[in-house]
Amino acid sequence: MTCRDAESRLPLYIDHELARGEVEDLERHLAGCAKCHDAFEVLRDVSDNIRAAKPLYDAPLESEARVRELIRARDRALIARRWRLAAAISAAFIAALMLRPVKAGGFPEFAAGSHVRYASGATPLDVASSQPEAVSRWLAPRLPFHFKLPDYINQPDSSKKYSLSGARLLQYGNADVAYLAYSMNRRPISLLVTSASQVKPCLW
Amino acid sequence: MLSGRRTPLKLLPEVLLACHAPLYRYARSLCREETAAEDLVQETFRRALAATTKPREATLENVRPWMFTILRHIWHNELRQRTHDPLSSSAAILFGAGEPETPERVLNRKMIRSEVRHALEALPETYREVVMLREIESMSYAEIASIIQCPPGTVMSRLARGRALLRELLANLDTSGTRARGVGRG
Repeated sequence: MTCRDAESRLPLYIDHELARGEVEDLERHLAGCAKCHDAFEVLRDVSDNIRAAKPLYDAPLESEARVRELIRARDRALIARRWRLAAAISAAFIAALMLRPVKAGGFPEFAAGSHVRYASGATPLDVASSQPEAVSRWLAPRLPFHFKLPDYINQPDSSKKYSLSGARLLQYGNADVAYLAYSMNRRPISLLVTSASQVKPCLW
Repeated sequence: MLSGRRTPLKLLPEVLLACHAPLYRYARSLCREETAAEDLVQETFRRALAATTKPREATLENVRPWMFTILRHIWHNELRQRTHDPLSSSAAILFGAGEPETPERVLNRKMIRSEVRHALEALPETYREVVMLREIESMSYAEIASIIQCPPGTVMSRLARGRALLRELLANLDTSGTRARGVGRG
């Protein structure tokens, strides 16, 4: 190694930026070259004295306290954001449950559609009567299952809150079902009657 | 060092707080004013906490240079022009003029610290910051290069020039017999 090479490597040596092999080469050179060794000592002294002055500046405690407060504020904001996110996800989930598309062609949809059509006047009744017996008489021979509409007797201390309006025969799939219309406070109430062999009970 | 990560990586309080003192020292070396340095550090933390692009990993090795870069960016682009510069050149350096001095005090570590601080603050900013990052913060050339955004070769040359200037400043003190005999060579 020449003196020129050694001189160019001295700062790297002091800063621990030389590879191990280069360190060994340089140290060998310094051991045998007084001029380069002096140059090394000059450089090292400057560096050592600066490093001896560490940390040079003391960070004020108030500054650190303010930083701690900034971090705490950030953490609070993060927690609040997580809660808002969780609430939004929950609300979206509930909304999705409530608004999920109903299975097309199911009995509940058929029942709901029948009620809406009756209430809007689109489907008139086949038999209009407030007498359960009369309605049963009309429906029974037309249905593929036994049908007899009960007549609930009024209790002495109360009158019936609803009244029968009539009935209509509807088709669900390939089977006939009984559509019974009632009225309560002038509002229509619908009841569909079919057999368990035709419609499987379901939750929805 | 930087990742371009855009997911909300949480910067851990202990990692952030470990950056505070080094950042303050760097800020002081740039601003040379306590109040301005504190403002700069606060603003740096504010930006870091709100940043959308964060280091890939929340380790000190990743977070520290990232925060130094933020601080330097704020200083260079927003605050430097507004801050009063008490020492515009090395000619303005005054090493405790009028203060009594004894050989004992020269050996005092506190005094050395003060002398070195004054000498460093007298350096032009270009050299001051690399000397500060290398000698006080013990950063590698690569880390310094990433913070000041220049090649490692430039870091080396600035460091060499900064040290040479410091040696002159401290040697002058020494030959004038004022103080800081423990600083510099000779």
